[in-house]
This record gives sequence, C-alpha cells and structure tokens, in this order.
Amino acid sequence: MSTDRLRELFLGEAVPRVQRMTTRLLALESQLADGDDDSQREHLDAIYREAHSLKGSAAMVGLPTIGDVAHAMEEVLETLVQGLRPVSPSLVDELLSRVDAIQGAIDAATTSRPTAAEPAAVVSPAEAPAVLQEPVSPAGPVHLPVGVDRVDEMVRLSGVVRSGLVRLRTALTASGVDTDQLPMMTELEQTAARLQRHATAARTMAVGELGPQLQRAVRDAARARGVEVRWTVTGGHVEVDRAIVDRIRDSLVHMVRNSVAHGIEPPAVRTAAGKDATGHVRLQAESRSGRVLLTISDDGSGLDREALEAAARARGVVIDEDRGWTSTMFSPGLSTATDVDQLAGRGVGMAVVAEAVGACRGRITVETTTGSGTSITLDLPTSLAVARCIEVEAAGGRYAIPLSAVRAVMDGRTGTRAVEGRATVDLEGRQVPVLDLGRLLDDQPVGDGPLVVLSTPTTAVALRVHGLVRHGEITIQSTGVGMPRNDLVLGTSVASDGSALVVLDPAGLAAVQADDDATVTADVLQPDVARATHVLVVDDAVTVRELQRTILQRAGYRVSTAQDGRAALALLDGGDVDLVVTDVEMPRMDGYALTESIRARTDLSRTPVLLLTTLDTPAAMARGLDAGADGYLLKAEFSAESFLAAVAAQVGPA
Amino acid sequence: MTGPAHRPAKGLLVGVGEEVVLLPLPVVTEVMDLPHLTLLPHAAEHLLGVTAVRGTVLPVWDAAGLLGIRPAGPAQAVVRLLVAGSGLALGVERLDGLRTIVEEVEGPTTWWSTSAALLRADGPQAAAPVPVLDSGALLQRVGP
Repeated sequence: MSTDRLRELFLGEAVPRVQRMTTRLLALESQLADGDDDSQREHLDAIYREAHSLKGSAAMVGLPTIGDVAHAMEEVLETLVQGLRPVSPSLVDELLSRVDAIQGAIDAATTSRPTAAEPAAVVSPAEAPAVLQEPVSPAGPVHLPVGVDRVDEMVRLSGVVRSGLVRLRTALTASGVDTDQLPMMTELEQTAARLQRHATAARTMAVGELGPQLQRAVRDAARARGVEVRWTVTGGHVEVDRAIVDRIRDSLVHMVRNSVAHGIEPPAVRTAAGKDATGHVRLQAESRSGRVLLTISDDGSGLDREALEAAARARGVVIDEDRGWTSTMFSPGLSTATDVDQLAGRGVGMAVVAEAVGACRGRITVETTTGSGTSITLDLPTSLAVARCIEVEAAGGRYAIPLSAVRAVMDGRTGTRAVEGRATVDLEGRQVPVLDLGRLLDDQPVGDGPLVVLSTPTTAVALRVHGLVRHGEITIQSTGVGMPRNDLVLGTSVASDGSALVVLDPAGLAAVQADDDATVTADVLQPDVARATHVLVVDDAVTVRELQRTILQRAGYRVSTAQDGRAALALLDGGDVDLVVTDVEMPRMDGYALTESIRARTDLSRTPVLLLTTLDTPAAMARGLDAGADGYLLKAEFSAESFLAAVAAQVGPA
Repeated sequence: MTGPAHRPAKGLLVGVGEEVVLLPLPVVTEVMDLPHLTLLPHAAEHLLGVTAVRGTVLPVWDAAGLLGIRPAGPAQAVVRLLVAGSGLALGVERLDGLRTIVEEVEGPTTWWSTSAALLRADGPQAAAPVPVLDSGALLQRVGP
C-alpha cells in the first residue's frame, strides 16, 4: 500500500478522533463548576486515549507534526490525570487550541492547502512546531469519505430488496403465476444479488492490506530501539469486515510496536543466546469456523512475568488466576517500561487493545515462552454484515446460524445419550453437549427436534431446534435500533417469510455451554436416591467421572461431579456430601489442595476423602496422606469391585 | 400542586395494567396491532422480542415493565415513538384514544411518582390527572 493510501486512511480516522476530543473537552468545561471528579477523570482519560492513538499513527504516515502536538497534549493531560494540577478553563482553552491545531493540520493534509489559521499563535512555541502544515504529495485519485453506517445501510437495503423479491416470487407462485416465465423477475433478482455483493464488498478487505501500515510501525520502532527486525505476513488473503479493521487497526499498531519495544532483544544479546541477530515479528491471519484469528508474534525474549507482576502490584492490580498472569498486561495504566517515550511506557496501549477487541465481540489469548517469544491472538468475527446461514425455528420464531460454524445437522430423535446427566451427541468420537434453544428462549424445551452441531475454535455444542427452514445468504443488520448488546446475538435480519430473524452467535452459544460445564454438574436427584449416601466425584476427565458415576449409581449411591477442586468446593458448600473421591492432577485446584481445603474447614473436616490418581510414587502417596486424604487409590489398579470396597470402607454401603 | 400552564398539546392514551398513560402525540410515529414477536436468548429485562416492520427489525419493549406498572395481561398493540432521533417501540395493553394536555401538574402522592419515566401529569380538568410519559427518560432506560 502506498504512503498516500496510508495517509488517507489515517486522515479518515483522525477526523472523528478530533471531533470526539472536542466533544469531550466541551463536556469537561461544562462540568468544571460541578466538581464531579469521576466524570472529569472519565473525560480526561478518553481525551488522553485519543491523543495517544493520534500520536502513534501520525508519525508512521509521515505527518509527524500532528504526532508532536498530540504528544504535547498527552504531557498536559497526564499532569491533569495525575492530579498534579487542577483542570481550569484556561487549560481547557489550551487543549482546545491544540485540537484546533491538529484539525488544521489534518485539513491542510487533506486539501493540500495551507491552514487558514496560524497554528503557532495558539500553541506554545516551546511545545509545538511553528508550522503545522504537513507535507503532502500531489493529489491522487478521488476518494469519497463514506461512513460505515452508510455502507451498512446500503448492505441492509440490498438485503431487504433480495428478501422482498423472494417473498414476491413466493406470492406470485401461490397465485398461480409461472414465475419462471417472467424474465424480468429473474433479472431483478440477479441485479439485487449483484447490488448486495458490491455493497458487501465495500465492507470487506484483505488482512494483507494492513501489512504496510504495520510494517512501517515495526520499522520505526526497530529504528528507535536500535534493533533489527524482519516483518512477514501470512494469510494476507483472509477477508475481514472493514468495520472490524477500523476498530482494531490502532490495536494492531500497538501490538507490533510492543513486540519490538518489549520483545526483540538487541543483536548482541540475540547472538549470545544463539538466535539470529535479526528479530522476527509477523502477522498471521487464519479463517476458522466463521472467525478470523489474527496473531501478532515475535521471537523475542517473551513476557517478563516478574516485571509484569511487580508492575501490577505497584498499581494495585489483582492478578486474575483464571485468566492467567498474562492478562494483567491489559490492565489500564500498567507498563513494564522504565522510561516513557513515544514508543512505550505509558501503559495505555494494551488496555486500548482489550477494549477495542471486546467491542468487536472478540477475544484475546496470549502465549509466551521465556527466551522464545510471544504470540497474541485476536479471535474476531469474520463479518458484521453478511453470512451464509441455516435458518431454524424455535419458540415460534425464526433464527439463523452462520453456516461457517455448522459442523453437522443430526436427527434429534436418535443418537443422543446422557453423560453426567446431560444429553450429548457423538461427533467424530467426541461427546458434544446438547443445548436446547427452546429452553434458552422461553424455558420450553423443543422436544426431539433436529440438532445443529456448531463448532467454534475452542469448543462445540449441539443446538436442538424445533425445525429447519432453509439455508442461504443473510444480510445481518446490526442488532437494531435500541437493541441492547447481547452476547448470544450477532444481529438481526428479515426471514424468508418476512418475519424478524435473529442471527445467533455460535461463539456465544458455546460460551453458554462452557459456563454450564464449568459449574458443578450436580446429579438430577431421583426420589428414590434423594436420601442415599452422597459421593462427590472430582476429576478433570469426563470419562473417569462418567465411569465412577455409573459404578456408584448402580450400587445405589447418589453422585455429583465436579471437574476440578475449585468446582468441588463450590458444591461442598451445599453441605450434604458424605464422601469425596478426587483425582490429584487437575487444573485450577488439584486434589492435594482440595483435600487440604476440606480439612481446613470445620464444617467439612470430617468428610472422608479418597484420592484416585495415576501418581504411583511413594512421595505422591505421602503427599496425599499428609494433605489429609483417607485413602489413596491408583487408577492403574482400578476395578469396580475394589473401588466400591474402598468407598464402602469410608461411608458404608449405599 | 399545580405546575406552570403551557400550550395545549395532544397525547395518545394507552392502557398499561390497570393504569392509563398519556403518550405525547408529537413523539408517536406509528400504532399497530401487536405483531408476531421473535424472542431473544438472554434478552434484556423488559424486552418482549423483536419484529420486522417494512424491512427493519425493531425491538419491542414492555411498557408495563419499563414503567414499573403491574400488567393486567399481555401487550396487544405496539406504539412506535421517535425520541431525540431514536426509535422506540412499546408494547401496550390498550389504546384508549386521544386527549388534550392542558397543563402539567406534579403528582407526588400518586403511584407514578415512583417511575422515572412518568415525571409529569396532565391537568386537573378531568376527573383525575393522567400521567404523561417522559419519553426522554424512558429512552435512557433502554439506551445502550
């Protein structure tokens, strides 16, 4: 991509940023008399983020003066955010003047004309450049600045036209008209389809188009840091919604700059470590199950856990154990950099990344290895506009599911079986849990309707629906005027019968299922076993849990299950568990820690605990018994008889 | 307690539970029988569902729930409002005709004083004052 194109993209982004800064500053000014510190802080933070983003991008597209003014704004804003001086009307004036100066420079770059105002007159000469007109190249092709909302409306209307034509053909056929003999009908349908394709294409772009902007960021960062970096892009052909790109473009810039600033070591250090003196930063795009995975990776030193945790402690950030220590890097204001410069150190970038990705219903995962590098993956929806979908019925309504996530459609009357008290289906040897759409909508199960098996990058779920209707291309509207955000809904559309169509988000549905799985799966109590001896089986392997459940239930015990120690403790809060049988090696909380926790609680200290594990060393056994276990069973020696005997030895027969 | 008189305007009377609420006519854009509603999973509180009107999908909100009024039955009609450029579709139980708003009064001792979306009441020329919808406040309740 040419520098002109990059500059054009930047200017397109800069204008709304300046508008937002102006709006915030005016709001801030109007609230000065109120003394509402929280509100003022919110405005200052927002303005700060805008200035920060402007600064980073401007330098890369050859408009350094805008970056310099934004940087100067940052310096002022930082003193205000930190409370080093109060916000005053004169300071707001000063900031507004700087915003005006940036706008003037943007206008000059856009029109290739000098700014009307003299920027140096409103910006302190010591802090701002004397001339703010950016150098611009001769005028290129004319581009119309069309907002995404307008493109969205074109996409929506083209979808309405196509949907209307489908209904018109249906109505004509029902009236006895042979529509195949109406060439105009076919022409209209083909034209509407082309219109929709063009409108949709205006929203999508190849990931590779991002390459030059990111490459420039890597180059500049490498130069500033005195390191050598090679940049590569793979999967550049993968298409992604332009609206999504617009939201995450700055995030990707932050990420590649971080890869260089925090990851890539100096050549001498790399050579001493046996690495190529030139570091490697790359963007990898991959389309998978209706999602786009964008990974920024480097072969640098990896994240410094100690430094990150120290920075977190210094700012009072609590490390989320479930999400891992790397999640702290997304905390606002957290940085491990020792110096503040234009490249790093303010702790703004990764917090902005998390915010932007979340706004796209995306997710972030981080993998890092000390000495080998870091990979950060953004898991994003492919499109916010059009998708091929399967249309289904449930609860009297029509719903659409993107076909890219559909792995199979099954007859719901056969093939399901209960695992841990829940219906599952077999998908290529894997037990996939069933989620009843009717129950999800109005708590009324749809019975034995067909199953639509959905697969996301991380999990799978079989959605039971009332019936299948059709499949085809769906124009997805945003979730609608006045529609609150809903993690299970991608958007809406109009069904083939003219009714509202709700487009479901497979990732959201899978997350619902995952949430269910993460909680303790208490047994469904039958009247005849309600008073039976209650055994809690804890193991992260569903097969082991299911095997134990089957043996124990056949023997007459009542059984609950949990997938790790933490989930088990939640169930133990219920208070009626007579025996715990637990694995040792499990995520989140292992069997030793669970046993120790049980012994430490006065209400549970007398509940017997059996460890059932593959660890057959004397040390492991001693560790278990020291933790307070009442018995130590080896999975290698497991049999139904010996297992029931061990259980009965603790709590007697069922 | 009587507030300042203002220029008479018309409103649409709608039944919500056992109560009647006046919707200022200038913000009412369309009235229709309750169409088929498609339910949403994990729907927001008081969101009845969505419906398609001339190619646009609208969320329909339960007026009773939003206003804190106990419903007497299911919604039978939808009133579309346009408030500050934003659309809002309300499911109501009855349509009770038009009424002229003569003046505003406050109703601190009446049930509607507890609803943030019913800040005004229409004048005492009738047997009993009727609460008038504060459409802006209502929009804030369903806004993002």
